[in-house]
Amino acid sequence: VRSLRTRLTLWFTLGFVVVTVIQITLTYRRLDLELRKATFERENQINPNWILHGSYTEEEVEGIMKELLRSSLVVSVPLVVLIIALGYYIARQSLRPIENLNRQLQSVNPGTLGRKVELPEGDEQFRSLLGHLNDMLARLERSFLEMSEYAAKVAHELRTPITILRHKVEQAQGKIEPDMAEDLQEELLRLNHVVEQSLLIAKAGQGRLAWHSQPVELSALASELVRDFDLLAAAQGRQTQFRAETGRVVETDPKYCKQILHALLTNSLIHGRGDIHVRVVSRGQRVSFTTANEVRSTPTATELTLGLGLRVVRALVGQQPTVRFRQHHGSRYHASCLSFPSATPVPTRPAQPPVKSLNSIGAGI
Amino acid sequence: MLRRQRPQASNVLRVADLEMDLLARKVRRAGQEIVLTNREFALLEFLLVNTPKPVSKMAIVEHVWDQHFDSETNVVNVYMNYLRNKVDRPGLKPLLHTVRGVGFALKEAP
Repeated sequence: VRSLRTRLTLWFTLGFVVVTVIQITLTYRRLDLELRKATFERENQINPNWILHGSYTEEEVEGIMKELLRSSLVVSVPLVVLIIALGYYIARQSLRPIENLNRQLQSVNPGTLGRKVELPEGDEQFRSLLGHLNDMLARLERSFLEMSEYAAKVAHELRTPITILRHKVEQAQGKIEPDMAEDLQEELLRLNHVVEQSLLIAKAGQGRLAWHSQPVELSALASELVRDFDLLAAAQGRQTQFRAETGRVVETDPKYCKQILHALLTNSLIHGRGDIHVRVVSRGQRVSFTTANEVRSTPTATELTLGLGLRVVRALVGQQPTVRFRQHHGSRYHASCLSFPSATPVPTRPAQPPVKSLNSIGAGI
Repeated sequence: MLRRQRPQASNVLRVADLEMDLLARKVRRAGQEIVLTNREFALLEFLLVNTPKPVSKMAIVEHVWDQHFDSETNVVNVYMNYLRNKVDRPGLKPLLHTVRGVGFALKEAP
């Protein structure tokens, strides 16, 4: 039995059953002994000088003992059921602080490491555990901040040398081998991408991204991005299959939302195979953006990347508690799903009254 | 009093027989209209603005795409290829050139 609550209930019930059985056994044996030993004396009605001596017969003793067993069982069985229920209730109440703690710890993410977990109903043992957990969270937050700051500094420091190198390579046109210049440019482009993405992740981790939520038409934004990827997919002999419900407006930051969708599409393009399926559909009060593609059967050289795209997605999504991100990575298919809170559609501008031309104004005069 | 008139910036970019009307968002080559996607239009515009100087891939990514495309996607090469197929049609002088070790340039062949 894995559930601690059930185990505690079983222990509680078992304890009661053992005590009850011992009690009944002792009573049974003692009564049995007493009944067999017990004798009685009674004056005879016929002659007052006569005294009758007697004892219980075997049948009487057995009858009494059977009655004792029967009444013990009749009382014990419902009592055991009651004890199970009581045990379960006590176990549940005792474990409630752990459930509460569990819920609070589940909601901890890099952005909320500074928030302390609390247990107002916890007793001394729980308070001690709570203290240790909060200390651990504080240490984690410090380490995370240090790491994040370090990554941001490194990325920032790398920007200048990359720009200088890039200009040097451009200036050296004709002085260095064209093949080498091309290789250098490719590497600089890759390095620049890594630095920019790392900087973005670090900033998001530190909560330094200014998120300006506003109504954004997700279907239009996705459509614009998919057009970009159409040609890239076609160059690989693949297709993008885009299906969107028009006019689906969500509440998000357009710049970062675009970056998230871009990263997911890039991921499908680089790591997937076959057609790239993109959907924008509304589900209740939310609008979801889904990408799905077949998984490559064997990893390719391009899969040996840093996985920055998904890190960017997680870092940006982590900034917005209202945005949900799920991934399914199966043996054949990979799917990513982003879900945004739906917003009221962007109000269309009222039709402007036709502007009178100067000629018509002049004619009026 | 005479007022100094500011020269108006041209809305048409031109190289050889290639014309780009920035306001109408139309491109013509040898009198024939070329249909381009938004991104192809932006790429051609960037090359036209810098003509005849070659521009690097990084500069193209920075100016044409507002995101940093993963270099694994080879986005610049793919788009240049599509653009070349549309602009340098058979029978016309090639205008889009790959400058080895530098990048791409839009210019009349010397």
